[in-house]
Amino acid sequence: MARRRRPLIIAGGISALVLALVLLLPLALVVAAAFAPSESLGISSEQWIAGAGAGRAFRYVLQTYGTHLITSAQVALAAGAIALLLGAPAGTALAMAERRRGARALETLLTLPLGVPGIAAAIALLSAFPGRGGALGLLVVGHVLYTLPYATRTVGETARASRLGPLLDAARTLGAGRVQRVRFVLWPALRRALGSAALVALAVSWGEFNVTFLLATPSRGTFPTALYLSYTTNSFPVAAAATTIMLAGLVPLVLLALALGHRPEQGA
Amino acid sequence: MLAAFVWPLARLAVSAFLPPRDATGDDARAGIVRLFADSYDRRALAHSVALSLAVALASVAICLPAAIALARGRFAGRAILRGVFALPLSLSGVVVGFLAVAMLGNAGALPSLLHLPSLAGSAYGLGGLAVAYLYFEIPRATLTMETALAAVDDGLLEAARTLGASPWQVARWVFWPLCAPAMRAAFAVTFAASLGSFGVALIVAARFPILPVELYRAFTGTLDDSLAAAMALVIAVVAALVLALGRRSGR
Repeated sequence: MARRRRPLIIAGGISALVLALVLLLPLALVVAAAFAPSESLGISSEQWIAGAGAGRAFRYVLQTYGTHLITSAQVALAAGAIALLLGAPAGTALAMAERRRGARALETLLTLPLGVPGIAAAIALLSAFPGRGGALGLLVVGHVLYTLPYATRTVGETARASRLGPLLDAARTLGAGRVQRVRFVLWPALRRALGSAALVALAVSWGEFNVTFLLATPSRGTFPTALYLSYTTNSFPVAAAATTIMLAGLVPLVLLALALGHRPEQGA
Repeated sequence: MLAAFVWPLARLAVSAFLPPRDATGDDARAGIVRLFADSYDRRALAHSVALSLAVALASVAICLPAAIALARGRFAGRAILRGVFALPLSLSGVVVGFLAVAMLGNAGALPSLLHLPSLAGSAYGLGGLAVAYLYFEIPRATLTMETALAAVDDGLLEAARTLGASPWQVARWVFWPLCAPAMRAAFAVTFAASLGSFGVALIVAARFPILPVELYRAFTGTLDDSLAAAMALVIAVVAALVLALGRRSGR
């Protein structure tokens, strides 16, 4: 019967290939445009800042939006670290307390933000903490709302699949101390999941726009808010270069996370 | 999570039902009342729901064959295909909006590549917005259905075959009912994502109102916190309801 299902699989495979090419085409064109010689694309007042010649668009982006790049790195590291520090224990504990009613409720609470659009969450945050727009702390809080659920889920899934409860019980009855149980049972079982959770959290934070946009100010925001400024004010080659820089940070994170078995997702 | 999310969300819900600050006369009604009384806002809500509905249905229909192949097929390059599908999922709406303008804007690349000048500027219409939404919903629908379909038990199909069912019968009476929950789950996830999406519309500056952009305008332009809260509440509640329905039928 596997033979008979083949036409469907072949048709589906071809459709997947076509869709994948269609998805890649715009990205390829934009990256190519970022490296195209600027003379052929026309030069605007941006030349006063970045001069002419090769790499002009990239120089312009780094000079104009460099602070956004730094803020983005700070927020991503902070939001990733907090997500990992809170999410890894939470995911492990929830996986081990699976059968208790409170665990279900807590898990629902932790993954709640994934169902709420970023712009709604941003407005809720701003009305609860008025006058904090542009504050680094509020940006981090906004990002943690979306990195924490992924970190909790990533670690929790692995903890559940590797049946940590019985393993830890066995280690304890065999006389392993607390440190030994963490070192020889927990750490080997969750090592990959922790790496995966960190990558997913970094990728989600690096690309996040919907929450950040309203929490940021023009001078203080993450790189995707600089992308917005670039899309609305700069020439096409500069906007393409800014997009390319964003992708250069994002693509390795996404591919590494996939290699470890998880994929980041962004609210659109 | 309680302090950073549930409490702000609760405050948001309350302010949707309270009159806005510093308002008089007709403007002094609660945001949630004005949202449904004002014909422009009602139209934005209807646009948003219709657009999300169309995009979610289209992406589920377009992606089912690809999802079946990725989930059930054994061919080289599946991991690469999955990687390509995963990439747009981690792009935010503004980037997709920029890609839409770059491809289908007034000076977009597609019209000249395809020798179809009539496509120029189509990014700014309803069709262009739908195409841009499909860019992030196609991977979402494909990978959601793939995950669900990969879990389908081969034994069920095998049993139907050994009982003498024809390939068509197996597909119609065994595989299709098993696909249905995967499709419902993918529909729910894509619908909710489209409903809350505002990055695309923000960049292409679409010619007609949709709710998330009106929300942004109410919040930053007219400083109508109550109306913005009401819009955010409606989006969050509808998205949560659809997601909950999709999850229930997915089990």
